[in-house]
Amino acid sequence: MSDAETKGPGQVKKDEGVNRRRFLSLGVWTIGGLGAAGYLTAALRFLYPPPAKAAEVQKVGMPEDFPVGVPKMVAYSGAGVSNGVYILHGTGRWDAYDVHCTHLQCPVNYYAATGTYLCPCHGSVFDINGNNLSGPAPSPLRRHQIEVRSDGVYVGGLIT
Amino acid sequence: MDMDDLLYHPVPKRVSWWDFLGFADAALFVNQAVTGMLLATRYRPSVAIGTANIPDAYQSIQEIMAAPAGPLIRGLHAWGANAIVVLVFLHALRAFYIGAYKRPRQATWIFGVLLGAVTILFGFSGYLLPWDQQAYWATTVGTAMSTYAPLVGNWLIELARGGAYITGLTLSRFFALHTMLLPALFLLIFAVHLLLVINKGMVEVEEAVPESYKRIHTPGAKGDIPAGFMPFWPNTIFRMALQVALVGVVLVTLAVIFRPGLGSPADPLNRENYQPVPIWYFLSIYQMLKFLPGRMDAIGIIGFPLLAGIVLLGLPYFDRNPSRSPRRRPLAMAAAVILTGGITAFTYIGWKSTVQTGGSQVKLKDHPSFKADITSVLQGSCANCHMGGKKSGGLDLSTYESLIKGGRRGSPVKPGDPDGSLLMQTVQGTSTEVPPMPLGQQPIPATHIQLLKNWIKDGAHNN
Repeated sequence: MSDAETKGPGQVKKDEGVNRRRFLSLGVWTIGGLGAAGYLTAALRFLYPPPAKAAEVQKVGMPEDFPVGVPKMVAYSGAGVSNGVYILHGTGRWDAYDVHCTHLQCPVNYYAATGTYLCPCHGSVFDINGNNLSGPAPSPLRRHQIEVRSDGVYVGGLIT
Repeated sequence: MDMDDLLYHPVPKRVSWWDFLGFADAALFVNQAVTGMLLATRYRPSVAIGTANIPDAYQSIQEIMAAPAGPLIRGLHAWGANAIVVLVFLHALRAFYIGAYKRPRQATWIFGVLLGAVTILFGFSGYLLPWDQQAYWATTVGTAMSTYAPLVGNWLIELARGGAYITGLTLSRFFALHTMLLPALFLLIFAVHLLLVINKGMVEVEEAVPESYKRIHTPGAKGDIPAGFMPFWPNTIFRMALQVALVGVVLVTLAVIFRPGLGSPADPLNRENYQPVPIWYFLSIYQMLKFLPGRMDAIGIIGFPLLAGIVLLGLPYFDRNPSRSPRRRPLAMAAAVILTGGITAFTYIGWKSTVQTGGSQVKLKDHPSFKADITSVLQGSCANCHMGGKKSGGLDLSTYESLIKGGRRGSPVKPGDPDGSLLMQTVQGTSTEVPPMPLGQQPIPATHIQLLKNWIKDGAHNN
């Protein structure tokens, strides 16, 4: 008889013990893991903001407040803070450009002398229609939804 | 290891002050916790317009500054935050220098790096809370950097801000992060770091204690200290306490003499054309971005910091050299010197480029002098792009000679003819070739324009 056979019953019992312990430890990890996953899912759903395009439109003035060809900054409010939007009343069209540079989101300023938006941080330049002309900005200024109704000019969330 | 063993273990008498930095860091975190809790009793993380017609968060900072001991407590918190970054960096440098990240202390190092990351997050999240212009725009740019991360960039920024912009939601998030999540995370990682330090011992101590001592040493036997050594308690701890006291005196002095400032309330429309400046420990990245061409921004913003993080975390495994002696690790030492030197230099250049020196204090004179008046005007408004080695458009305004020499468009100054001088045309925005200067900012004050005009009319002398 080998050692294994003599210790047969004990061996079997020990194996059962290992399996049992493996099952229990798996149980602990499963309960812990499911709990953590549940909290994480709820947290992400709670923290993740609604899509930007779902933002409400807000009245920012009357059409006659915006002379043709001169961008004018208005405030667009969200979550207690107003953000800057340049409204450009072009010939036959209206555009709303976000004030944040597309490089690192410093606020651009419009200069009538050159007809450009300039960024004070790294010197990006945009033309009056928000197209990036020079500097590190990788894309045109972002646009907001804009609607011109009989009772006023309405600006909404970002659309680009 | 029992308590007695921990308290009375022998420490070489010639132990370096550098080895106590971890203790000083811990003391600084206690300072942040105490002053932070006090600030939280008066701070209100709300952007609603308060009774004084300013955002409530900003108003609560004003109230803190008006409260008894308020400036001291806020000063200790603000200066403490800066001091932590410096001392944590020095602590890491020391650990690197003595090879404390090598076997068997790899985990100690890795948890230390994680603590460093939490420290940076603490600083970044705390920066927004005063809700002034600096806070608002530095956080706008700081969070905008994450948009350069591939795939997850836009998701990350919206998650951090709670929307497309920095709003009241962002302030609440940063407040929760700064005062709840990060302290919990910090304590957890710090506990592991500290246990590892105790468990694995310190390099300097372990290497100095003679083997003969280790063999006969009975744990906890007081007075059983070999020659040239001292017990940890109270001798070493006294020295640590002395170092902490020194740091404390410096902190209190800074907090009393240089009160933490509060700029104008955050204005997301930026009507006053505030120019965002990053917090000083991001200046090196800020400066690097200026040197990199635009299309390489993603590399500078995401690539370098990510690489630095990976290298730091994996250092114990990348560096296979078994020696701890700095002399036998020339490659590692050279890399550290170059990296530290580079970061210091970039921080300095970045800092120089944002410092606005006394430009607004210039007085109008009919016959201004170049040295007394004109240099001050130029430094105040033009230094960002035309001084300190930067020659935008080939124009260097650091000296009289380089100003007269001019840039690619020739000399910007025609002595005696202000209206014909390109300098005057650009600062007044009348040039048809060059955009108004300073680029993208408010025009320089009328008194400065008049000073420049008078100086050129006088013949633009180097007087």
